[in-house]
Amino acid sequence: MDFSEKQPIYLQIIDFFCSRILEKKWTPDDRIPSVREIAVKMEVNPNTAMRAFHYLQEKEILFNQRGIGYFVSENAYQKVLELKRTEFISEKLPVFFRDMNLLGISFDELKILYDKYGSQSTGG
Amino acid sequence: MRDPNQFSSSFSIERFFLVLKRFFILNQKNWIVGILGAAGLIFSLWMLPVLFIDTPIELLGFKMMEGTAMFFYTVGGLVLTSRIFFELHSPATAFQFLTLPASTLEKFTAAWFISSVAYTLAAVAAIFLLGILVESISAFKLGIWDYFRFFNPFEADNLQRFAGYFFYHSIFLLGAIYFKKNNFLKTLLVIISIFIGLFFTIAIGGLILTFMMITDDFSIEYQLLESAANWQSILTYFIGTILIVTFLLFGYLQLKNKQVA
Amino acid sequence: MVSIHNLSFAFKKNQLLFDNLNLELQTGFIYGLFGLNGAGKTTLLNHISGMLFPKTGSCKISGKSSRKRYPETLSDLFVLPEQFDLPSVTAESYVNIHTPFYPGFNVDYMHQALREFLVEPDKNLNELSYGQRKKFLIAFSLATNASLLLMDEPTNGLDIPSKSQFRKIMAATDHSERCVVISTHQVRDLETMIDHLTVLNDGNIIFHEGIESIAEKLSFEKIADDDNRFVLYSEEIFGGKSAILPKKPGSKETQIDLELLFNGIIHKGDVIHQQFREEVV
Repeated sequence: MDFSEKQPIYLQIIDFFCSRILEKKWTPDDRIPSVREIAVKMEVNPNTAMRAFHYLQEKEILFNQRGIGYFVSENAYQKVLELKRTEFISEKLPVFFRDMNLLGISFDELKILYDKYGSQSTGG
Repeated sequence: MRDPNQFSSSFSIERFFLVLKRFFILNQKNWIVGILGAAGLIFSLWMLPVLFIDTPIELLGFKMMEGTAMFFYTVGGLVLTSRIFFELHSPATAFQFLTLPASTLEKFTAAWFISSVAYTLAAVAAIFLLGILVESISAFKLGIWDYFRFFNPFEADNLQRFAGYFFYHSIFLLGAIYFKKNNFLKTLLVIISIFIGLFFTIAIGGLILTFMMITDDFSIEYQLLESAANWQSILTYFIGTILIVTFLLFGYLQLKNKQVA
Repeated sequence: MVSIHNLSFAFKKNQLLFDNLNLELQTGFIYGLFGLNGAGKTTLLNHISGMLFPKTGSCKISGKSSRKRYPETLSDLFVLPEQFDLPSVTAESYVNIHTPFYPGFNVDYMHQALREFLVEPDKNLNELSYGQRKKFLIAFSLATNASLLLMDEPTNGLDIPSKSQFRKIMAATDHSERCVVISTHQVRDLETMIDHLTVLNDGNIIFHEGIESIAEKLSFEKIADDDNRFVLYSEEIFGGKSAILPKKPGSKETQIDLELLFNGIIHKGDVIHQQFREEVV
């Protein structure tokens, strides 16, 4: 039943960077891997990797220091959070709601499950 | 505006030497084995009379020794020449030669140089040293040093043989590019066929001439023919040189237009 | 970089392999040259490198006729054929005799690449396995720093780890000053590497588009059988269809399925091509 589309590679790279920032593994002024390193790791054309860097630079999540490399911006966390929230609400939630309807999961049931998840992951 | 196709396809001496070095390194194993084998064979042939005859090597004997060595020099060189463009004849190797960054002229002259001039110099040195070796063995054995002779490449006989090699070499170089397989044998076959053809042409021509001499008074023409014989050697070299140049030119053009098999 | 104009060629008389073929290739791109077996991919590469001569028309590299084989053209070009034999010399010796022909040759890069590929430089090339020899020549071709690189089925004969190594080494190399043409019928091996798709079929180039423009114009989706949207090309898969649809402006980009696209171009070339022509109107 998975009719979702496979993401283009440059979006996969963007997602990877974003989750690093959301998980606070990358913090402001951290130097991140180079275009070349990412291209090699992902086995893609460097131009493809470059696209992801350009996109995040445009969104002011990364900044480029000529000749040194790419760094995480001061308020990258905030920006990523906004970006990902919008994406989640506009793209992931509709699919999620559709599946809820299909499987007959009620909102109350969902709340119980969510609370359980919350206590597990924080109480651990 | 300069026509981009007017680009220098000219000759660079630096690239010529690079191609030469490449030819040498890629073929050195085969050549060294070939030269050592031939030298061994010549040495054994030369040693036979030295071992079994208890007289010093006379001039005639030495001349015969030279003859055998020069025969191996010629045949060996022509076999080597036939193989010099081996890369061209298989698609799996042709790319390396055809896209080697040097002009066709550089590649062709390098192949010519290494299989004629360089090869001849190496062969002369080898024959010279072998000669000294055999002469020394003979002299030691008999204790007589008066008859000691050196191989002299500048003797008329030998010069003529070198000239002969350079002539046939130009044909085999063409054959090395033209034929895909068995270049040596095929070139040899073509030369033999041409000789047979020439022989018949001359024989038939001769017959007609004789017939004319019988029927007509042919004395004046006959005399002219006689005097022409004096010019024979000069004419031979003249025609030979023209033929060499022609064969080399054909070889060059053949290489220039060679495409991947 | 490469400019092919009205090129026609035939191996046998009256049986044209190329019929008035035109193609322009530029610096800074990795072109994927795709075609069915026998479409003439290798023959086209041989024309570009000047190893075959066109019957009519012309093929030029930086304005100079390929068939003239100028040393200046050849020193800026490297050909990696699918099948090749290397001379019986050591890797080191091969490098030594050939590097002086390539002014931009990077010896350090060569050694680094050989290390990454685990090829021993002091071994005779004929003692190496087919895959090892291929990796050796790939490393050599990249080290020449030639502006034009023609690779014919570079991943053929490589084992799975080597294919990955090949992609890594291609990804690590700066191609911005270079034009790379990779011919292959193994689309999957290289789909992440190329940034331009060129399809050769029936004696002509029937598709020649950049990956970015493909991603802007086409959408690659898995759709349900009862989906009634306009589909350009589709193939049956388990539980639905793999389909190429026209991409709606503003919609999210999808990952290009090159294999599907290639099949689509071969079978429904006109319909797909239409998507790229519309913008011009």
